[in-house]
Amino acid sequence: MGGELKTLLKKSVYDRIAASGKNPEALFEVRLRIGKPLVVTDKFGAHVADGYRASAEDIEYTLGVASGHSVYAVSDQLIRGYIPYTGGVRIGVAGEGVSDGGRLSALKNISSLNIRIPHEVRGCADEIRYIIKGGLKNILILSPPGAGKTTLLRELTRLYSDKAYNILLIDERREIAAVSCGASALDVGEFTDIVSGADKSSVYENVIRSMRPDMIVTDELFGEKEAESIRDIIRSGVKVMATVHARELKGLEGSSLSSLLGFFDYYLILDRPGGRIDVRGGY
Amino acid sequence: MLSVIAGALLFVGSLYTGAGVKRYYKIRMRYFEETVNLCNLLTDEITNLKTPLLKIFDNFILTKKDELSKHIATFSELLQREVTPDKSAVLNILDVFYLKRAERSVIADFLLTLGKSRAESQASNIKHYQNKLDELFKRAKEAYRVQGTLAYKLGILLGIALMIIVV
Repeated sequence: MGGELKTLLKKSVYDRIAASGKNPEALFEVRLRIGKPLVVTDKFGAHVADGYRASAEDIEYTLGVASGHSVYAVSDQLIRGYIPYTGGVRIGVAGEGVSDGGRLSALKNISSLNIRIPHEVRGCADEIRYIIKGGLKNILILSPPGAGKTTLLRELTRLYSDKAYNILLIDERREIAAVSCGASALDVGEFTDIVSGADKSSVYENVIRSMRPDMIVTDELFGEKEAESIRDIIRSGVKVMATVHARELKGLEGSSLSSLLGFFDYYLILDRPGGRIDVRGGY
Repeated sequence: MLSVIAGALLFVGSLYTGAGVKRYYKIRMRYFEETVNLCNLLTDEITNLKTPLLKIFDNFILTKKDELSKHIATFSELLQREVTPDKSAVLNILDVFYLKRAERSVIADFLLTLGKSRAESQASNIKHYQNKLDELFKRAKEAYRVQGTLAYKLGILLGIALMIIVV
């Protein structure tokens, strides 16, 4: 892992980041918006690279590299709003949508990119190791975007897996394990089976039965249909560890995921990267 | 004796000139034939398999050893180096004696559209250029058949005539 940003960004952009006093290889996020300032985020927070405004060419360059010069090969992912890149890097895209029969069929004139670089932070779950020691539990991690949900999820997965539990990691967006050519670039443990890039709903229906995991792990739960699948899995006796975008438990009330409240043993709430983990539940 | 040698040299020179002209037309015909074949390959790989462009190029280069595959290999390197190359850089690659300026422009435009859109619009783009390239192939084939053969025959006849005159 490493060096992805150097490959993904045009040299002028990469050099500008370095000139702004930030180490490009220590960044969590780079935002490119046509005609707007370049914004980078590291563990100290967001930072504007002075005097540089991203151009259409900068975006076209990054898209060219990320798609392997083949936009047609990633058009399905573009519709879903992101392109996965090697090393678990995920490039969020925004542009003009093209609809066909009320369904988004394509994204054109891409004007913004958000390049997110995953980081392994060993020890980020040290303060809640007692949960792991207590055996398998249903765990839901809540936080706003960019506060470290996926990093914590990855670390907990590794810790559970290294205790010889069979973990099935459903990595739809390839950012938890960063699988490339069948090999995981990030450490998710010795006893983890990874399904990456596949639609979560089909994995819930089919793979769980065949792989017989002790716990399934997945990122970013969304919608009532997925909540229903998760409830069914928990009822069947398989433990679930997942993340969800929410600032507080109250944020889930009234949402399409509200039916999940009460199904999990622990709710871990994060408000910023590296911050304290607020543990609820475990009663 | 000297006149026999001079006559033989003139005959060989004339023969080679005729053969050279014929070869020029043959290279053009083969080149455009291969561009049409490349279009078929691209359509198949992109629409059915969504194979990444560089992979398609790699396979094409491996299976062909002709003028077009040399250009594709250089274009592939350019794409990896510059990601979004401009047209002048592609025209430089295509700067060879057997391609006319307008033809180079068509091929450069074609190469630069590859990989820039989703599969459906990519396929229609390829079809658009395939029609143009097919037209160029037909013209080159006809030129090879008529002018190429004529040049070769004239080369032989001129060589014989020169030899007779000199000897």
